[in-house]
Amino acid sequence: MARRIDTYLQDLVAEEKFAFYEAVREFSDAEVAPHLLDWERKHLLVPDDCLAKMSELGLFGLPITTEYGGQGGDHTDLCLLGLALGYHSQSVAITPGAAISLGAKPLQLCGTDAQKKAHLPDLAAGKRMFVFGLSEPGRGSDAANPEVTAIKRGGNWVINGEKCWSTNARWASHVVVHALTNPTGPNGKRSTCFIVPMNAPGVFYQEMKGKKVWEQSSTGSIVFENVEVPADAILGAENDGFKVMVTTLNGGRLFIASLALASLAFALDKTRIYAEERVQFDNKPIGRFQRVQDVIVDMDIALERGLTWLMHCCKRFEAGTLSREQAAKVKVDCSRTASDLVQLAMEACGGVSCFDEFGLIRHHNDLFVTRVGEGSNFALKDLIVRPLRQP
Amino acid sequence: MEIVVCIKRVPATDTAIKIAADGKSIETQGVTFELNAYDEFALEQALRIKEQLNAGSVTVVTVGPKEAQKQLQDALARGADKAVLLLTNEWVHDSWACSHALAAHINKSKYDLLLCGRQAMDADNNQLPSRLAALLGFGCVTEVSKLSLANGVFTAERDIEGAREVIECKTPAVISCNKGLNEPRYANLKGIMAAKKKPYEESPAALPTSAMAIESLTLPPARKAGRILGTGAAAVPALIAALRNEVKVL
Repeated sequence: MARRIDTYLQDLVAEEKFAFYEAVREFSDAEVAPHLLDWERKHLLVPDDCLAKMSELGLFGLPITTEYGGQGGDHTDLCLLGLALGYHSQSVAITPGAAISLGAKPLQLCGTDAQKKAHLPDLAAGKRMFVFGLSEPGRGSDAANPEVTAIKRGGNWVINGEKCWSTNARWASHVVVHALTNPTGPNGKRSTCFIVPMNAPGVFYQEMKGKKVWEQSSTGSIVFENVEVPADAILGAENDGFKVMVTTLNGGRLFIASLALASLAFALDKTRIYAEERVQFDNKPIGRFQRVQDVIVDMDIALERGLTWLMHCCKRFEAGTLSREQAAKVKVDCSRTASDLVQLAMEACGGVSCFDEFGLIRHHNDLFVTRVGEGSNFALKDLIVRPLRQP
Repeated sequence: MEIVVCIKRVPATDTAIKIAADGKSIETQGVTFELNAYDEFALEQALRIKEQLNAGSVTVVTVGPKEAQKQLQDALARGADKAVLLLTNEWVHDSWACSHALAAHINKSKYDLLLCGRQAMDADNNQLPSRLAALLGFGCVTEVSKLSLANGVFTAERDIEGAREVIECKTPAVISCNKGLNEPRYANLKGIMAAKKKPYEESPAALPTSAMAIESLTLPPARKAGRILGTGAAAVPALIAALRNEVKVL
């Protein structure tokens, strides 16, 4: 079955990038889609053999330079990965997605040569992952002022507090901890990022139970009790932690937009095909009814518009000209539009949408994460409005 | 070891086939084409042999239209070293003609091993490997589902009626590959980027005039609705009777 998304992507990206998208799509069709229901019904995280196959395909090393054993890809490639894997499952897509955009990327952008040499080859090979420690039980959108603290003791730093919502914590070898180091400093200059081994004394991880979205993705809570790290564990500069986080999140937001569009692409194909199969009122396919057509057409328009915008933003990200507002806007719009439309698509298809094997309910649930993850849409609008209030 | 892999661009297996207006070909509008699944096993095996020996090269060849470049690029991205497109605008369904076009090209170089899929999933002839072996004067083992190489000798295993046959063969040889032989790899980004720089050739396919022509194509009759004869062991006699007397398969 020809996917609508493929038609648009083929025009939007270079031939070799589309070939990469196709390779990941084939992988997703063969290695993810047939097992997804089983994983969901057994409440499994992405199984080890699937992780191993993604590693073999080089997905965990996608944007890492070939010098460190990576694939040498760019942010467009990362978003194409999100589109190809997210079509079936955002949970599966976010696993290499977060490992790259929140794990390897900050290290690649802000790490010292020694830090890169120590970690990037293993991260590129998918042998281990880095997890991003930003959110806290008491700090979500207000991430610039963490409650986790790091205090200097001799030449070392001592970290205390708790991080949560850390994607991929189950598989992480290290966590990048965003900690308060300069409480009286100016806003944006109060925190520092530290690379902390997950097996360091005083680090405790547990999976956050009861999550009903992104069910195959690992989401961890990580507690730090007097965890001592050396000064060379600092990622970026002292008291520049917020800059590391912001640089990281800009790219991450584009990836979240790609997941939202992947779900929209799936819902569009599912709905348009079902609408031709399902007959009502004198054996007419429901695709003949205009209110059903409206939903399908709106999804199609939103998909083409979103993909065009996202690919444009990826190019700007690579060129270093993507502003925080632009990254926020595309993430807000893709997540909001996709989740609104997928809900309408479920209504158009009717009762069958309630079943897991139909697929729409999975995307509906997962789309909620794209609205609140990597900056909630509510908080991001605060960012977007700033230039609008300038005279 | 110099290895050549013959591949074919075929309609995707999930295509809903429609007969074209001429009644002799299929409608290609809206059809997605892909690398023949059996050829994927052949390509993967070629790459594994090259990796095992840490020497030699893998060349992929196809007879097909310009669009088959996509499947060749895919093969290069997975690790083949060189690709050759023997161009034709015809749908190649005649194994005799195709084998002549391929052999004419393959004979220009020295190859030790020719690997291909057991059959192309469009025409399903299952003739090409044997015809190629005859034209090239190579040994031939078909429908191989396990293959190993030691001291220059291949040991090939193939499923036969109720048993498994084990054959040893030396090069030069043609081996046709069956499902189960290996698990084909996917192209990664590095491979896709590297593929653009690998040698790629195109030339007209030397296809002889085909001695066969397709007179007509028809879709299989629509499947009849099933019938439930009963449930559990009590239904078995009725099932056996129906299979024996109605369907006549027992």
